Order: sequence, then C-alpha cells, then structure tokens
Amino acid sequence: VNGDNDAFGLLFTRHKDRLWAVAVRTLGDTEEAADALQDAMISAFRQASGFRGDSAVTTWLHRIVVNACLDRLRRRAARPTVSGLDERAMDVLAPGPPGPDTAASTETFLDVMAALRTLPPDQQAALVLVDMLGYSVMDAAAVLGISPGTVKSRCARGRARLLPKLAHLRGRGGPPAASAAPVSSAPHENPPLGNQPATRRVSPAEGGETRL
Amino acid sequence: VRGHADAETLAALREELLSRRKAGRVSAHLAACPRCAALDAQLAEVTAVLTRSTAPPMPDALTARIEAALAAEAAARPGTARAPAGPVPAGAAPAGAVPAGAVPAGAVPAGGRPSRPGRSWLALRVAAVTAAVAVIAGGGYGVAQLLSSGSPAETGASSGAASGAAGVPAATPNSGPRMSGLRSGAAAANSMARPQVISSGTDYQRGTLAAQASAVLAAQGQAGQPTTRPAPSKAAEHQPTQFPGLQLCLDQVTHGQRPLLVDVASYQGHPAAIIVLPATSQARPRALVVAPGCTATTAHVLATATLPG
Repeated sequence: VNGDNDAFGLLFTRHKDRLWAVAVRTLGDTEEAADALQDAMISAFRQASGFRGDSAVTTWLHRIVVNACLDRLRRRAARPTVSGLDERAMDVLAPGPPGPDTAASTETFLDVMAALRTLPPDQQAALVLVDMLGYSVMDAAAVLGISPGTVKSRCARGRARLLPKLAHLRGRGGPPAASAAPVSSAPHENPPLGNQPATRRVSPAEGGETRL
Repeated sequence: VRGHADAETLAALREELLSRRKAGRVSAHLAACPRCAALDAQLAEVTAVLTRSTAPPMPDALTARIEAALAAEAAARPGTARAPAGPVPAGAAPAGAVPAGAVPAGAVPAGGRPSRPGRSWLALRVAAVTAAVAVIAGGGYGVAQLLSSGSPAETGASSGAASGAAGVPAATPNSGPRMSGLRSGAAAANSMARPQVISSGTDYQRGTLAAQASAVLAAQGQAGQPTTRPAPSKAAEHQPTQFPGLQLCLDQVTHGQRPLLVDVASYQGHPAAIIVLPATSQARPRALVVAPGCTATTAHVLATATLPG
C-alpha cells in the first residue's frame, strides 16, 4: 500500500518498545539489537504491501524482528567465537541509570544471556518470547511461524538445558529450589511478570488489534 | 519407569507434551521421589530466573536513528510523491482536510486503550492513512509538506491532498526552502494556525536555550515571515529524514496554540525541533525541545525553557 509511510511510522512508535525488548533479549547486546531492529524495520517498511491492517500486523512485525535476530544469532554461531559473552555486552548496561538493583540485575542479565547463548537459536527465541517476555504460547507460535506444540517443546528442551547453567541464579528471588514443591501434571503457568510491567503479556485492550 | 526422570522429561511433563501414559508414570514417580521433585522445582525456577531478568530500555537515540532510516527509505521510494493518487480516490481528499493530528490522536489514545479492540485497528488504519494523506502528500515521510511553501491553489481544503501530491516534485525533500509555510490538512482548514517552520542551523544548548530561541525568534521576525522565501539552506537538506512526525507532534504539543517558532535544528548536537509557544495570560513564552521521535502519541520532549519577556 502506498501512502502508508506515516502509518508505518505510527506503527513503529506503538510497537518499538516491545520489539526492542524482543531484540535485546534475543541478541543480548544492545548494539547488535539496535542494528537488527533497524534492519527489521526497514525490511518491514519495504514489504509494506504485506502491511494491510489485518489482525496479524503486530505478529508480522514481531516475526520480522525475531527473524532478523535469529539470522544474526546463526551468523554469530557460524563465526568462531572469541568468548561466550563479549565485552560489548558489558557496555550494554553501563549507561543505565544507577540504582540499588542495577548491579544485581546487570549480573543476572549477563548471566542469563550467557546461558541462553549456549542454546540453539530456535530454543532461545522461544524462551525469550514465552519465559522472558511472557507471551502466550499461541502468540509465540504465531510470531515464530511454528505450531504451539513446537513452541512448548522448544521451551521445555531449552529450560532443561538451561537448568544446570543457571544453578547459581536459582533461589535468588525465592525459596530454595530443593524445597520439593508439589508437582502435578497440571498445566505449567508462567509466573506473573511483576517486575516487567512494560513487557508483560499484552492484553487485547492494550494492543487493540491482535492478541499480542 | 523405575529410574529417575531427567530434566528434559520433567520439562516436557510441565508442558503436557508427554503421552498420557508416560505422564502418569512420571507424575507418580515425582510424587514419591524427592530427588526428581527437587529437579522439577528447579525447572520452575529456570522460568522464574528468565522472567526476572531485565534488559536495558530502548535508547531514545535508536528511536531517532530508525525513524531517520525509515524516512530516508520513504524519500528514496520511487513513486512516493504520487502515493495518495492510487489508494485514495479523489473523493477522499476532503478527509485529508481534517486536522491531521486530531484523527490519529483520537483513534490512538496515549494509553493505547481503544474501547473496541475488534474495530479499533481498522479505525487506526483509516485514521493513519488519512493522516498520511494530509501530511505526506509531497512524499517525504510527512515533512515534505512542511517544507513546501503553500500557494493558495494548493492549500484549498477541498483538493489539498490530491493537488498537493501533484504539485510537489519528488525532489522536494532535498530542495525545500529554508523558511516555508506549514501546509497540511490542518493548515488548510485553518490558515490562522499555520506556523512557520524554519531550519536555522542553530545548535541549541541546555544552558542557553531560552536566549538562543529568543535570538532566532527575533531574527525571524525581521525577515518578514509570510512572504520571504530564502534559498534552500544546507540545514534544510536533512530535515525530511529527521522529523517524520513533526506535524503530528506539533498538533500534540501545542494544544492548538500557534507556535511562534518551529525550528528544525539541533539540541546539544542532536537533531531536534525547537518549538516556541506564545505567552498566555498565565505564562511567558515557552520553548520546547522535541526529539525526532516526537509524534502524535509520544512527545519526546527533551527540554523546556521560559523565554524572557
């Protein structure tokens, strides 16, 4: 659709924070996330013929961003890595506002990103959307272009692989993990994202046009 | 199963990915085995750790950078100048005369909470396209319109969008006059509300914002606003890519007041627009600094200052 330049600008304004949240968590590096997000937005803008205001527009934007990030992750994986977590990731958090929690959350973010990077990109992407950002399995499936069952299995395998790598972080925010919580086969529920109000699961009332 | 469950099996159980039979077996084992129960609890903690981890917010500079990139992309897009002619029939042109900021601002509340989720997106789309017609007719991501000096014929409300599109050459974004009338749907509907948009090249600074704004305002007053059409300046060249949403932004931050000055320049070395609002009965003239990300819904006000006198 021609003449949508400004409409696209509005779209970007509305979704940029959520898209950024996805990109920075998927890549774990602000500079690379910035480049990926910019590439994705340009790409989306060029595909504006696919931008028709249907209910999938938010999903579509997310998918382009996720794919741009995954491309980078795969390219990164193909390169010989210098280290698991390069110094740029440290710079990521340097400019942040100082606060009582900065040190701890910085540490957590870096540790989590380092652990995430050991997973296959597909599992990373699923965990970023579902566990880190609280998207529903259905929404994540739509964004990733895979079935909900595949989202679940990628999340499950990713969590299992992360378990030993996050051992030192577990229990920091709650009771010791060994407290043998009762387990049933009830559906697993994501805990409330109380510390991330800006990126919680987005209700229809907030987004309006999609479930995302 | 006599043996213990591994983490992947337990994770699959949590996602209900196991067959009913296997799920039953593993669940029964879990209930009786503290070691596997502990492992299962640790799995829940993995999700909790991921959920707790925060990441840096999107830097404002990145927003500006991407908006600039999008604007450049729009400016380079072939055929952009004729955009309204295709999808928007001539009969729709009067809709473009609705104040450009009013429509999207109404359709997209700042809180982003449309009352009817099912229909609101469509409303947004219509509004957004209407805004695009009103603001973008020149083909430069909205700002071309700001740069083109409106002739009376072109500002006619009934044909504003369509004739604007035809009347503005594609090269406009790179050849806009330094000082020009702001022409848009809103301006066409109410010419009294048409502010001057200039590009003075001033790099405003935090400490001297008020003084610099006063100086530019004074200089502009001497230049004779309505008729002056100076040659294109260097500063004007990059305007279109810097302020994709300036018109919508103005509608939002001015609250209907006619700005004394809109200067697309820089602040502390970064692209910014300096908007000077007139004095009111309660307040002296005020200068606002907005970042290129300023749009109808997000102000991005970087700084404010009260002008002397």
